[in-house]
Amino acid sequence: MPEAEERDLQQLRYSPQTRRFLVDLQETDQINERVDGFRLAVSVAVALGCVPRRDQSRQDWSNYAAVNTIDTDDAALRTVITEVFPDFRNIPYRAIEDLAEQGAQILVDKYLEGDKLTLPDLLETVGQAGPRPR
Amino acid sequence: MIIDLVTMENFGPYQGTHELRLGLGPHPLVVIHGQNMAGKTTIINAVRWALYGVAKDRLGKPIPTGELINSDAFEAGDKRVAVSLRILAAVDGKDVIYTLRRQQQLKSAHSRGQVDNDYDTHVTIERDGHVLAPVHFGSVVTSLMPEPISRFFLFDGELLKEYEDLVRAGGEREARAVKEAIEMILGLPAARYGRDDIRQLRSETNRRLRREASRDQEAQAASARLEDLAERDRELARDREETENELRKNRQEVHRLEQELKRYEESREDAGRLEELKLTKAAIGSEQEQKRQSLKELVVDLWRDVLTPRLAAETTRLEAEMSTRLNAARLLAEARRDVERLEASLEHSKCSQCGQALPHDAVAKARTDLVERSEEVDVLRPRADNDRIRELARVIGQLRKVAPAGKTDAIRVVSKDLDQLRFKEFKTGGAIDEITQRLSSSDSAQVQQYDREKRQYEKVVAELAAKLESMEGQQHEIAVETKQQQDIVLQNTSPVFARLKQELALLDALDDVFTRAVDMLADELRTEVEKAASEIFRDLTTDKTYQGLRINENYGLVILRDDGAEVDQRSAGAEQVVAMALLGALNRLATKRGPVIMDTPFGRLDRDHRANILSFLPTMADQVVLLVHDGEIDRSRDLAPIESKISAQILIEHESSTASRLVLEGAPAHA
Repeated sequence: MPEAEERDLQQLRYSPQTRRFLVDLQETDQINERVDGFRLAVSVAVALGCVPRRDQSRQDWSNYAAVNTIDTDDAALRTVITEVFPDFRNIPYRAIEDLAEQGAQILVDKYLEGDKLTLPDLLETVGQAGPRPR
Repeated sequence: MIIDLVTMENFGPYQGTHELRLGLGPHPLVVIHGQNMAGKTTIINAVRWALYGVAKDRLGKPIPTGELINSDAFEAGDKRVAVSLRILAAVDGKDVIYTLRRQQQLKSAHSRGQVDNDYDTHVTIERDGHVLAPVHFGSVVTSLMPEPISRFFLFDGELLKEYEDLVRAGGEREARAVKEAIEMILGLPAARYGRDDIRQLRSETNRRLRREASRDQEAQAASARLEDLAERDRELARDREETENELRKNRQEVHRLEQELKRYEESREDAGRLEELKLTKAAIGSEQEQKRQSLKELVVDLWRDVLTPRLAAETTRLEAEMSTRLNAARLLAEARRDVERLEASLEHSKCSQCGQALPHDAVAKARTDLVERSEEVDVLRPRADNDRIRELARVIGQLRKVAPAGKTDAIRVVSKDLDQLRFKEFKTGGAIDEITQRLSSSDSAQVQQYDREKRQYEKVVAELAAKLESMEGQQHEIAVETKQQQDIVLQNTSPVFARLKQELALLDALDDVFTRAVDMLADELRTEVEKAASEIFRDLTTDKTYQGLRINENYGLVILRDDGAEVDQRSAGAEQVVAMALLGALNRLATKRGPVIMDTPFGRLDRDHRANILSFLPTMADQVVLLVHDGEIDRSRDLAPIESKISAQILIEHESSTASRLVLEGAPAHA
């Protein structure tokens, strides 16, 4: 479907894997709210050069939260997505939903030691990441 | 006496036959290196066991044979343990070689070997290659090194605390045993034997006097009474000796039970330490919780910091594009101005600047320039897209609004703190587990049993002590009455009686002389020990404000300051140095000189004291065997200054808890 005709989301969803990851972070006392982990996952994906994907299958996904719960009062996430990924200017929250999935997968694969997030390692990688080719 | 060769068979970690050559060279010192658990203490125990049939654990308790025998050898069917010693000694001015061997072997294949009764003991002894009857084994050992004095020659640094308690003023029970052992080393019993012989002679003379007096009617009754009194006194003396023996045995039992209870005191200390550790762990847990909360708060805005490098890169890229486009806009404006100017000039064939008519060639050039600049305008127009420039400014502005949260440094610090706390928690947890395991193996019923037994023995000790006191009183009464009856008997005027009276008077005088001589000798020896120990102490201590040591009648030693004042509190290191000074003094003054074997003696000494003692050791005895581990001394640094005094260095290679072997290092070429 052409972008212009796509409608953006009012309600964000997440996969069972991402849900499990966020619940684990919360249960192991590493985040206060799941939204803290969700935003972190989105930012990790953006920082490490991931690009939002279209047409990802969302089978088995469950509803997570309204978009205004995910974004901050200054709509900073939306701003980042629309400016960094202009192709998704009209559907930033679809992009956010997918980036959260990608970011969560990166965190699970590379920055979990046991059940603990190794934040200093993450910060070091992110700090070393250079400008992305457009 | 020199121990030339120790041969161990299946003794402790030494499976099979292992020879340890100690008489290797002209120098007194042999150093044996081995790590903990390698088998150093086993060597000192092998010597002790060969001589006296007893090996001791770290608490001074005898080790059962079943635990001495190498378990691999036992499993393989070789169910015996043996040690032989080749000893060089001087007997009556002549050099003699003794070979003493002790072996214990399981009685039958059916025995489990858990109790000492399951083993048969065999001892053999040779003198200059001639076999002596086993019955001489004990007397030869006693002539070489009586067991009571062995504590001053076979010296376990780990058991030093025992010596410190012994040499400290006070501690009557232990002090008595040490005093007797010290006096034995110094030769005091020889003088006492002389005094006892005189007393024996006097008793005999008295008996003859009584017999002679019985011929006199008046003295007859007194004589008969004297016989009764003498008999009663003998009975009392026998009873007293028995009671003293019994008292000694009961005191030993009390001491043994105190030692057992001391082990459980360690358990009680463990319990206290466990509480401390649990509190520490709880504090660590609480701190971790605080840090985790703090980290969670920091993580809330972490996503902004994670985005920062990417957004900075985006912003930089957009700024570069904007700069390029702004430059293109500037060039476009310039090109447009030129086109307008050239068009105006060509339209009127006049210079647009000065208004003069343009020559032909200038018109041609203006036309060419106009074409070029117009082309430039066409090229620059899309680059200088004002809409894009406005868009870029907007986007850059938007991206800049997503400001970093500035939490990264704090997150790194808190994460590091949490890592350290996790490590501390792990270590504390490990210590807690270790102590919990130790405590689970301690038996409170056993403690109560020991406590009960100790109270019973203490009660018996008190009863025996009271009985002894009563006997002393009775003996005193007998002595008073004996004197009265003797006065009556001594009125006899016969020549035989007169001679016996003279003999008795002489023996009384001799007894008095010997008694005073023994006391004087004891005093002199104590003074000699004090003098020698003080000299050695001053050499060994690094604190030059100490004047020396003062000795009490039990050979307890206190440190004296420059001003003669006593030092009340001694550090663990000072205690060790005092004990070493006493050992050195006793070896210097001993009538019986033996080899000194020291096991891990430097545990609590600092580097300077260690150096002082190492320099002193070669002068301490004719043979000094030092058993040390790497943690106590640095071979290259600590042993270098006394290298010329070392006959040999031997390494214990430890392969497993049941397999150690001895490797000779650095033996002189002639050895």
